[in-house]
Amino acid sequence: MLIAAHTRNSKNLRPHAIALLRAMTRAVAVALILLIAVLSGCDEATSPFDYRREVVVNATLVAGEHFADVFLTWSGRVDEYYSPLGLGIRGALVIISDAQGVFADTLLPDNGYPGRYTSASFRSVQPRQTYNLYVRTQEPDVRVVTGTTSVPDTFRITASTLHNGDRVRYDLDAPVHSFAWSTCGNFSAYLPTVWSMDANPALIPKAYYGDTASATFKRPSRTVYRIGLPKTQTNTDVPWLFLNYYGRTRFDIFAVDENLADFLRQWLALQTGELKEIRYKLQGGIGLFCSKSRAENGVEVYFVK
Amino acid sequence: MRLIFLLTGLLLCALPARSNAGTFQRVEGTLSGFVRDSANGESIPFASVYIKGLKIGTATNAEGYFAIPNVPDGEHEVQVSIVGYLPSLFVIAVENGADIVHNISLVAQSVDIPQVVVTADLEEERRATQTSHVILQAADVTTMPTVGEPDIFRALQLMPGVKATSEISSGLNVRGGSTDQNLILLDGTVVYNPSHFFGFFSTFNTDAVKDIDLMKGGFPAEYGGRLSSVLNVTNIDGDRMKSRGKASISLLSTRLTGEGPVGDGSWFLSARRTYFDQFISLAHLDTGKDALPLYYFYDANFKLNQNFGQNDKLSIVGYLGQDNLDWKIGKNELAIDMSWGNRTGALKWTHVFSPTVFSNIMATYSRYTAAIGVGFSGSHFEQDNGVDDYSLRTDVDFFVTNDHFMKLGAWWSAYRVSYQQFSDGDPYVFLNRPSQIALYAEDEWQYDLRWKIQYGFRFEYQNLSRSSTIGPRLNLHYAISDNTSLKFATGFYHQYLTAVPAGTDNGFSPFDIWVPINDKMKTSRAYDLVMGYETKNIADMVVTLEAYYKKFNNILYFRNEITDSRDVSDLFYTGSGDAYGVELFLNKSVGRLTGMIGYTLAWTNRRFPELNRGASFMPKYDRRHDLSVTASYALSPDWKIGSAFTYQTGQPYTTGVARYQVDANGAMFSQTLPGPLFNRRLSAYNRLDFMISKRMSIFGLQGSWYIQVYNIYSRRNVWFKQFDDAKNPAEVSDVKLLPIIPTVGMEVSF
Repeated sequence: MLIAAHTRNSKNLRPHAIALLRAMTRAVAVALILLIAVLSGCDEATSPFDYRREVVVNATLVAGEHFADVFLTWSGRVDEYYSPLGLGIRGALVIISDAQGVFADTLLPDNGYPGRYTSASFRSVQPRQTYNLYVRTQEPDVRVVTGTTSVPDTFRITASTLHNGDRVRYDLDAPVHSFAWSTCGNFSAYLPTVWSMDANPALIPKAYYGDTASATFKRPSRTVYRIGLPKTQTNTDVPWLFLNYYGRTRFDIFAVDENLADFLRQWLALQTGELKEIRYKLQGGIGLFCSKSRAENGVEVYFVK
Repeated sequence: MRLIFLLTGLLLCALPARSNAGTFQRVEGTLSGFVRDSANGESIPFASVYIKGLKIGTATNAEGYFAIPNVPDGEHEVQVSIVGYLPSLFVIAVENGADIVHNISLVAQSVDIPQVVVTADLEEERRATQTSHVILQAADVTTMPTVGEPDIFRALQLMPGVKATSEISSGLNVRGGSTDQNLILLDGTVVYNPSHFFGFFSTFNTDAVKDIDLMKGGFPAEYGGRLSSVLNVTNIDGDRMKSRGKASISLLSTRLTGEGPVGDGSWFLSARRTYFDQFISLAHLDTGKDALPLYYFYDANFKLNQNFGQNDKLSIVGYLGQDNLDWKIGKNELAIDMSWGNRTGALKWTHVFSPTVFSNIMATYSRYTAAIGVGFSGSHFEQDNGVDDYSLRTDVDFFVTNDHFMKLGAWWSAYRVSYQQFSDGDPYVFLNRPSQIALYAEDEWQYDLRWKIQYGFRFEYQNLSRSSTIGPRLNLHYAISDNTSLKFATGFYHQYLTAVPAGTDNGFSPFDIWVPINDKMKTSRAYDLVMGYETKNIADMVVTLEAYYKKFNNILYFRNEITDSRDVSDLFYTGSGDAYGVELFLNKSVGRLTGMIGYTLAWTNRRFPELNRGASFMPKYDRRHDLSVTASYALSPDWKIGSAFTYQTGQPYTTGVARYQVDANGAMFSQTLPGPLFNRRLSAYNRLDFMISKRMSIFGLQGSWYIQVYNIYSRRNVWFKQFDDAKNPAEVSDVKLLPIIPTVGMEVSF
């Protein structure tokens, strides 16, 4: 009797078992397909990036002044202690020439300062002249870096609410100071700049000074307060925010070449958002080979507390 | 232009060819009417109207109108159905081919009523032709737990193929598209920056919304001007039966809604306002050196409908939304004043020319403005940007035969796009006034019981770039069985306006500036291929599997270092991209347990010759895996619980590999040299939210309360990586997203 019941139950169960088996087969097939899909899209390992050190160039020619030093360093790994002095490039060949090939100066390495190359020429940088830079590093890591800069013309400050030697009180309620200058030629942007001439400058508004008086606070030594002025604009206001709370302060207007202006614009724009690469106008390396012209009649004043 | 007329002619000629053959010498009439909600008279779009014996039918359009031509003499049983309503069955009698106008009222199906399964033999559903559609009701959004209050964009971000750059963003990235590639329509009017609170919330108030229709790809010729998707938000028309209201309060805002009948129509008004600023002001925390910002936003939706006889309806629709930030620190040291918002208005005339010809004519206005004023130490900086869109639009629906449903339309827009910056010296002013025209024609052809084909084209012309484009569209639908179908869609899409992400690239921000392309630029274009499989055979669920491939050309990438050019072409790099993936979507929308599971496996690539040394890269919104699970369970007619879980592959970011210093104008600038663009990923993102709600009676009024817990296990997902190169060696730290946030809220109806 029991056997018969078991057999009957078995017969009844058989179709269910087959259905279950089929369902399981389907489920396994679907699961396999999904698994393959998921595995095929597994988060990629972070993309390989072989760090290759770069030659970093720093040289700014100033119209009317002697040829500036050229500094050459290697870039440092982001996860290691960074010391520009320790990364100075020794024994490189550094040549500055003009576009016509009339002037060519081979810069000499400064043995006391690794990476600094100084000019042996006593000639001055000519406004509106184009200069080429050629750098070749030594074996075993030979790199060639080239760049070009076109020097802005000379110009001058024509009007200012501040005058040399003025003593000025920091006053947020007072009208802001302003400057005007003559038109420059062969330039990319004007850079009004405030320089603090003291050893411990306080280029910060009064309200914040109390908070930032600690020894660890890094005070800026100078402020470029307008980047990207329209090229046609030849005047600017100087907000109190960018002035010294106290101490000696100098106001200058620079006309800078495309290389420097582009760097500053990019630097400013890339302060927020994703880390992005700054595009330099150098071939084979990074950094700045640029030029600028300082307006005559810069103003130096003293801010009193 | 000649080509347009030729194509339209061909489309029109093709229409009656097949249907006439089958209807020769028969006496036939047309069944037409509106389908409305029995409780409030709201029109019900996309309802299926089906004559059982004849196996013919159609679906209501966006206004709830339907027409079935070629109904032979005799008695016929008609079924009207849509998910969420009890089906309606009635009999019509056609005599001597006379037309029949029959308006239908459907009764909403509540959770405590035993579920009625809507079945039909290969029933017609117009939207079933559409591939990659996501349709949500406001009720779906309110049952999804979130932070603060229900939000449409947050709900859409749970759908497969739809992502956000981060959870601090209400922008939508649809199938590898950027946030400005979505056409966002509120009652037919384009909304340009639909965000509040720096992008954290969308501008759409769920109390005002009736229907949310997202087309992720393969969208019909009716829509254009954007490359990636169409989001069509339709607001509530207003109760045509009785006046009523609703008040809601949450930790974020207070909302008030009123609606009721007026004349032969209805009115609707809904408004909300946040109150952070009131707390801060009352506590006097808005003054002094450590002053907190006074911030608030408000928005209001308005609608007035009036019927003039059976065949005419006039609607006035309005939206006003504004964010304000006022922050004053110290004495004249720093003052920030920001305001931004959208205003839209529309006048819409709906006219039934004949039972088979239905039209909409709309005049719309949309304005988005953002003004930022910063005063510091006696100086003032101000930036204003805005877009004004004046549009005229007409759409005509032709219920040509039982086999053909045709739409023709035209859309003309004039824009005023402006950006102004005031500081010292000359103001920077950028102003453009482009105009654009679009014409479209599309036909939906029920070839037989299994095949349905929707095809059409869209012509667009923009005067500033002097370029015109034609975008063909095709949607195929093949019914394998009553409940299972295959879908295919393809189309070419074009875009003439693009947004400059002047803030960060985390989605919408008040700083975004819309600019038109000019004659030095090429029109951005994209095409997509979508294949889908849909079945309703598994329990009460609709299961959809879709694969897509999308190619982008002439897309733009903002060069944010450009500061003073007035030529739009200087502002962008031009490049290309592609996106492809597979999406699985399980949706259960009836019964006590409702919810959905969405999974996306996707790849997105971009390539710009000037970026990343010309190599292809995956943008910030690329996610390999994206899983969302939501569930809502009615414990009883009064109690409901819900939860939402999200898992995503980590967001790509760019890591630094080297350091160096640059001497610029006498100062040393510490720089980090990045590796390839977006070469690393943040850790995977996951979050679980929970909510519980209860209906109750408060002083005799019907109401409910809810508790929501956002990020219930308080996982501190990473927002972005921060490089601190002031440290030596440089330190990289995680900036975390929000921890657990409980929210409570209450709602009262009167």
